[in-house]
Amino acid sequence: MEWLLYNTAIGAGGARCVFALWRLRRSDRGRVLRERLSRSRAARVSLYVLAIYAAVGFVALLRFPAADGVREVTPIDLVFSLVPRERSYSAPFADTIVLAADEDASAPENQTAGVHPLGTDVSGYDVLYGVCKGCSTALLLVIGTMLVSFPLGLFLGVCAGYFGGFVDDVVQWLYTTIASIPWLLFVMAFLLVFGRSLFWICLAFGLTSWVELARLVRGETLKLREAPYVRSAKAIGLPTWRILLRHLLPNLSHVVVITFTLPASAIILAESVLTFIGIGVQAGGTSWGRMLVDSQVELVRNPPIWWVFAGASLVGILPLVLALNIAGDALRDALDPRADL
Amino acid sequence: MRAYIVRRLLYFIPVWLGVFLLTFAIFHLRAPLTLAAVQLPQAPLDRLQAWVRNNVYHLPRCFNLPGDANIERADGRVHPELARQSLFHSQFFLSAGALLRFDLGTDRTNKPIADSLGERIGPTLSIMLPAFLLTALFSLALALLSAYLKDTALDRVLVFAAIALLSVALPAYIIGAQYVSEGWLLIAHVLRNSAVPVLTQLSLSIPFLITGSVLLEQYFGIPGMGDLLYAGLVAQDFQVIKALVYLGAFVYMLSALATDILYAALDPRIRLEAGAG
Repeated sequence: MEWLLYNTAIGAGGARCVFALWRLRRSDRGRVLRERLSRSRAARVSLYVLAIYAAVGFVALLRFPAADGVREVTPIDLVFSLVPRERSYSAPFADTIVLAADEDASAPENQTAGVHPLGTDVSGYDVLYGVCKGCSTALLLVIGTMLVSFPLGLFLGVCAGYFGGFVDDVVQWLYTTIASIPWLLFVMAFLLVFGRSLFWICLAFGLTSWVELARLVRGETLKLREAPYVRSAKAIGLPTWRILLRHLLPNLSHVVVITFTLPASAIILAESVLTFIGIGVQAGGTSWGRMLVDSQVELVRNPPIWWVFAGASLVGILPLVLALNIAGDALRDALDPRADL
Repeated sequence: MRAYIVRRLLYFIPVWLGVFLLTFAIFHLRAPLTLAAVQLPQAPLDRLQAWVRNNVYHLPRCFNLPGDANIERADGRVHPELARQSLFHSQFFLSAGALLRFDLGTDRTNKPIADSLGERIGPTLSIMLPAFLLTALFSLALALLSAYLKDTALDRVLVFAAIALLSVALPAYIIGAQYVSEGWLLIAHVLRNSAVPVLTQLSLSIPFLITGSVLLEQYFGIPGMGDLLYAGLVAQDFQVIKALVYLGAFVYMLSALATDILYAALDPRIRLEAGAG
């Protein structure tokens, strides 16, 4: 029954996101946004790419009890269980097994079990399967990091900008300090001490990536603090928390969107780097970084097994990072209040 | 200008204190036995306690109070000899003192870490400096080209290439944002006006010379700083990692200082604002 609860929680989170997007679409702001975004085809395409990756990652987060009742499988597992498994490596679109000269290539036992657009890995699993599972790890990492860094960055940034004075000094000191330590070193030290699970990776990323957000939010709050509606809210005696929550935060949403995309692509890249160094996702886990690390030994075989590497980098990481960058740039332009309409 | 530099130098003190506190928090706030259990999963208690003692985690955390000398420490022993030490014979004050003396300590094999750093800085710089200069030149040229050809097919190809080779993407992006469209005025005007963001980006990538070389040195077997970092991680040598964190922060702060002074030299407004504030 646990899986039911778990799926409901995940589903509720997903539905909440979709609902928020749908509401944004219907709102005036969303219409303006859509109009501005529709000017660039690259931006539209990258938003669709993001949606696809997010959807695959989300589906791969769901869990169902497997037929044996012990393990749990994801819908991705179920889909790929329909794809026949090879005995070992199979190149993309290969349909015959490499044979000795005297064997008959057309004999049924010498055919591959199926055709795999991205090939299969050493144990015969489809590379596309690994790429899809990697999606969910990437999604978890990004969401987990944001869950840490957004509240931190928003809270500290708003407080620093709104209260000024001593609070401002302390927050500035805090983020200057964190920015002073190269983040990769910070993350490594943190993971070395706390352990290497996904939870700590997210926490370490989150603790280093709130700095940029806090800086921007602080600057924006400094400007908004003097806005007429904030001053009148203060004048009629609203409690401070209400001014912060109801009047300031909603008007900072564009800063949040702008600072979302670059860290997201940095997180995805950082995961590969950490995994390469050996403190990221451990052996046996599924992530794009793990696939890259594992494919390293296969690249030096003769003939080289290049498709695991190509699958993880060209199908997994590159399109997503590219889409995040392009969409981020487009959103930044579209949300810029100074841009002409 | 001199007042500005002095003020900027004084700013080192609180930030350096912050770096120390943060590093201390990472390495010393967890309970010693939990820390040992992360390093040695499934090890029996006596091995964990030996680990605690070898890493000097049995010392009191903040103050060595005289009355506490007979308390059993995390290594499972009583340390009556602590009663003869001063109030400040603790994890906190010993690390703070070592840092003030620029004493980076020794690694697992009792080799001074400062020596290892001295040996390894040569190979790292011999690779990373040319790489850094090439990156700067290459991304400047590409970005100027990309900005000049904004919204053409070639611009998109360049942006694509920049993202694909993300190491050069950031400098390239920043300058790419400073669009100027007319002819060869580009270089004279853009380069001067975009000097500030370019300098920021370049100076911010200086600490990356240390961390960024981890992959490179690991891949090609170069005995540099990145290799030291990797070896420290594999050996779970806290002292080495701590030393590298300090070093990274120090390099970052120096490069930020250099950038700020360059800014002030390039743009008198910054100097004046800082002087007024």
